[in-house]
Amino acid sequence: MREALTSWLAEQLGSAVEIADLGRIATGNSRAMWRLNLVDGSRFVVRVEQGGVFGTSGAEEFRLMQAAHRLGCPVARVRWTEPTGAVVGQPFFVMDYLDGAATGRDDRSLSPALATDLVVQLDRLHHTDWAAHLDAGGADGVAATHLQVDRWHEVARDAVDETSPLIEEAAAWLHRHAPQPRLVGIVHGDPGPGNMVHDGERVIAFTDWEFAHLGDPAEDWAYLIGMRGAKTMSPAEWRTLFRTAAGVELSDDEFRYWAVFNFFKGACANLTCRRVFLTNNPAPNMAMIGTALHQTYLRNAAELIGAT
Amino acid sequence: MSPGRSAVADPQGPIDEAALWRCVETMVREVLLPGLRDDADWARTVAVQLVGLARYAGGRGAVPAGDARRDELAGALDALADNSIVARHWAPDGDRVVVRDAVGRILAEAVHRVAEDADDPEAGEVRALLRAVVVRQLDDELALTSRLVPAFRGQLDA
Repeated sequence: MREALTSWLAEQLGSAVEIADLGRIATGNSRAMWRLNLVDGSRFVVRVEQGGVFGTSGAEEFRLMQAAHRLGCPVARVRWTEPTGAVVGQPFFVMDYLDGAATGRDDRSLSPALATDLVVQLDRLHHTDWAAHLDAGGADGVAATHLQVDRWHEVARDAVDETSPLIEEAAAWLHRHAPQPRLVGIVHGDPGPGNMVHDGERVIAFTDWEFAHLGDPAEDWAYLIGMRGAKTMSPAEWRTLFRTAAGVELSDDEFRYWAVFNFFKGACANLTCRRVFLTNNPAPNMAMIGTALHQTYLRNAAELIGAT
Repeated sequence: MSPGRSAVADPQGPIDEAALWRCVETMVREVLLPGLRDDADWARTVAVQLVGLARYAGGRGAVPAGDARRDELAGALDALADNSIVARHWAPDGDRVVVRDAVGRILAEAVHRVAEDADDPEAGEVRALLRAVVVRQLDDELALTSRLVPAFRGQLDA
């Protein structure tokens, strides 16, 4: 990988390159993350796809990150993308390394100031004027939600040979009950503690953009409450913070809908790891995500749907 | 056999699969993990997960046959042959290969029927007698696979 990257980087930079340090960072399941330091002092991160994990593409992630950066949102600057897989065996892109406070993989704690800034910055991301930078691709009004339901439904269907009945039920339920969005904006798709670089009080950059898309920002708010921020504070505390920091008020029905959506999305995305484990990446995390995590998310979605 | 000694029924037969997995778990844990460099974070993450995977593989027992679960679903559908939602998607004694597809379409239709009328009796029947089987099968599997989660989260001794 070192030699291949050296040649490829030299082409991108138009001059000779010498790598001082290249090592895998121990985070991330959807992408392999490599710390890349050059002899001239430049520091980058190489984000490498893992054979179709989560049904997301690095090229799309690059596009959303680039747009968000141009719109002034907190995100690492992306530099170059290699979408073919010809250089290191998988598509990848390179972004700037950002210094920030390191938190443990499962550390979900946030200082009050950082939690507030997270909500403010996420709300700003949702309200950016993205039209000049991104193609809507039919993401208009409630159609944006139907597109996302179809997207994840298709990812799940492609991942396995036999139908999953509860996935079919959840997709039908989500189409049937989709609420009218108040806004269609850039949705991060996986925001919260563990997916940002910060200095303890402010968000320096949102990270892990593979789920980003245009859609209803309620998806992100519900995700913070029910998924990534579930151990940070109570749902009531999150909702108070949304209201006081960003003026965001969502109904109980909206939160319930997007909770189901997020479990459905997780179940569908995680199912891809089962095929990846059986084909091109027999790593233990792939087996774990493709079974236990997939089943947990599907069970949670089924429970919420069963209660309606 | 003396007390405290393991059984070796057939000296020339294969070693029990659970014992092989116990070997993987023990050696990764006691030999390979302590030998990793301090900065080998990714290798340590993988090693802990491998311990969890080996523990799961060695302790889960016989793998439930997919055919048995398909048969159970087909039996639930056959029992609901008079339900019009079921009848639209499944013929009694239908092909087991497509049973999950039929169940998926039936559950999806029941969602729409409930949205129209929360007290729809046929949709209620589908939920009570068919959906319950699907959910219980998922719970059965989850009861085994959930043992993987602590190691996935990096916990070696959970």
